[in-house]
Amino acid sequence: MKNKLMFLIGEGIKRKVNTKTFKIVNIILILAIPILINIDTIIKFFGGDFDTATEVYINDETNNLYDTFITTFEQTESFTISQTDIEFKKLEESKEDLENDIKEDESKNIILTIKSDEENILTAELTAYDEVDSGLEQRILNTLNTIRMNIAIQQSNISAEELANIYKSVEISKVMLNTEYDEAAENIKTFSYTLIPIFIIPFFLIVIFVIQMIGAEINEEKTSKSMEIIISSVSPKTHFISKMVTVNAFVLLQSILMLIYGAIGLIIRSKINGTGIIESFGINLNQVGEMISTSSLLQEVILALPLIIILLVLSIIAYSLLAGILASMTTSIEDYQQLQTPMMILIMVGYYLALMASGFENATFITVFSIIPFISALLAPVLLIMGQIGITEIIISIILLIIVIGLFFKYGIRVYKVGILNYSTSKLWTKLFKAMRQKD
Amino acid sequence: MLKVDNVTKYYGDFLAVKNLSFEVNEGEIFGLLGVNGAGKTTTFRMITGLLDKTEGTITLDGKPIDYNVTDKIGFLTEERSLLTKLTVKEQALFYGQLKGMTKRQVETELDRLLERFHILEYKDRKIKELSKGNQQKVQFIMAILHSPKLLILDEPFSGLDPINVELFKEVILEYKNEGRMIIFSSHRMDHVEYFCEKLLILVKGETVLEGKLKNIRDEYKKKNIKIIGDVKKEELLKIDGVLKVEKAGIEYIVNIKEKNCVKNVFDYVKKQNNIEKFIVEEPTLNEIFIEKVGESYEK
Repeated sequence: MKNKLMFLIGEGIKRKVNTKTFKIVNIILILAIPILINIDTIIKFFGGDFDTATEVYINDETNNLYDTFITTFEQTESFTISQTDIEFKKLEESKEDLENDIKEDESKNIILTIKSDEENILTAELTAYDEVDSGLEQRILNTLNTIRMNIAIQQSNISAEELANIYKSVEISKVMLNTEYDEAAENIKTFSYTLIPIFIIPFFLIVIFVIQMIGAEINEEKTSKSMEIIISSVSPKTHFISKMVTVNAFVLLQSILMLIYGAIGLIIRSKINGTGIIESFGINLNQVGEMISTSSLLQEVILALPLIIILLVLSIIAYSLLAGILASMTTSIEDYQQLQTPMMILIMVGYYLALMASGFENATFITVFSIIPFISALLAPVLLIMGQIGITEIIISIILLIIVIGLFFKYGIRVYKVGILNYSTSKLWTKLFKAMRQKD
Repeated sequence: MLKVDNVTKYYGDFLAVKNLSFEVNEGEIFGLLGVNGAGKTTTFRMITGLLDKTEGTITLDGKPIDYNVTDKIGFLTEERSLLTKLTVKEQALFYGQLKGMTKRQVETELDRLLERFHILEYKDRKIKELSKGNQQKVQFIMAILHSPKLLILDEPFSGLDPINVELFKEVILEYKNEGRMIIFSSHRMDHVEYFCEKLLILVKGETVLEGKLKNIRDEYKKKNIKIIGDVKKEELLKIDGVLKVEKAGIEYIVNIKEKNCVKNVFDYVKKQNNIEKFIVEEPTLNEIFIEKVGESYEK
């Protein structure tokens, strides 16, 4: 029987991998995933207005502020993220000629005229074809304000220290009465909220994929009556196990392939940017390391990682068993689609509770749901990251899942044995409960 | 030898098969007959190990049916039991290896059988692309691919044209002559008469008739007399022992109560003119089937 089990698994995977659909989907994925990872580079490659710097011609009517403006602008910009979309040039020709050129070419170039008014106060004028980018205008304004302030300081004879005191911000120190308060953990929580959908959605998709594939596999063999030939050669138990293993192995294979395509995309990205893979996304590895070392919560999450993986794997097994049992009871794929609705609702409950968890911190309702099989896989890891449950609750979730899997296996096989040869929908539930009472 | 001994099957409270017993010896074709819902499929499923019996025993060569024995059984189901998305070769490799054959054995045997059934060119074609008749050929090949000792054929001629029916008949007889056991089920009584020496008729799960076809015919007292000549239906019906008279073309078919009534009919016919034909025939299986099944339904 063991050989036939291995044969069924091998044959099942081979049949799936050999389909045209699998090959076409993977060709699309191997192209699409690296493209998506490098989409910013691709967009830049094809060029556009964002790509060319705006030329700002400085018309310095004061005749002595051009260099000051450039220096001050560079100093101001050094505190912000690198901006390379402005290029300053000194106006050498007449302003009217340049205005005509801008008008004629409908250019996005700008003329900045710096002048002093009657009271020797710095003023400026921006001349553009139709509009001035508000960000650019703000950056020029900041620079001019700084210059004007520096001029005012020089004229008022205020020392640099005095000026620093004037502008010094008020310091607020925090005193936390909870001695277990972990500031780094708070930062992690904020960081985690953004990671939750990234973690949940792939699991959500994998479970749906597994449920649908098991249903389709079993229904195809059942409706084509080939099930009768197969079951006359292998026991329903062997067939059931083979379906579970085949579909999960195929999903695992597809996931690994997608990770490889992702890795290819990341390698391309790091080669293009000339940086490390993580750094190419603007993430500072030192900061991440520091975050881990200073947060006890994050350390707990990392410790619980193997348990979380076990919880996820067991949940996928539980969903597979349930899908297999339900599929055996149906007589067509349409019937199965209706019967899989309760499973979808279970996944949706987990999904929405996980998303809502941050808004209901320490809610007993959500904490209790985090240990319930089928829901725990989506909810428990999220609550753990948020510090609302500990490793103990994860272990309880795993134990409950193992019990459910054991029960599904014991009673599910009985239902499966009867279900796969049943082609009638009448008295379906009666047949199901009778089958569960039958001994092996 | 296949031995089905006093087998009963209940689905919950529903009695599907009651105290069923029969034997199929090597080199024998056994007819298992019955109307739809009589219990034939349940019987086949019990023989192939798909269903557990409620009572009784089924043995093949003295061994109870389990997954060590079922590889020796070939089953041609009434409906298509093929994975139609696969090619003929893929399907054969799947079923053949599942029945314990090696890949090489499957390929060799498949080529031989495809050639025998004149469909070698369809080896790499998807089953769903084949005609109904060719799909039936593929299904038959899948049932005999692993050279089973016991072959169950449920409506094997479904979807076949007369030429292919003859081809199937030849192959079935070859299998019989090779000493294999065959259980044959069909609603076409002429086919059953052609193949089966022994048969059993099921009605609502109960055996209403069982035995050798010759004995069944002998025990069935009613006979048919076929007459061509200037006879009158009304006068034939007045003869003692005549049950029914039908006219088929120029021929009269006179159904009589028992063999002794032949003389009464003959005495009438010899006085008539232009008599070209007077033949006493055994009843057809179709007649026996209809009468036996009909009687049981009325009960």
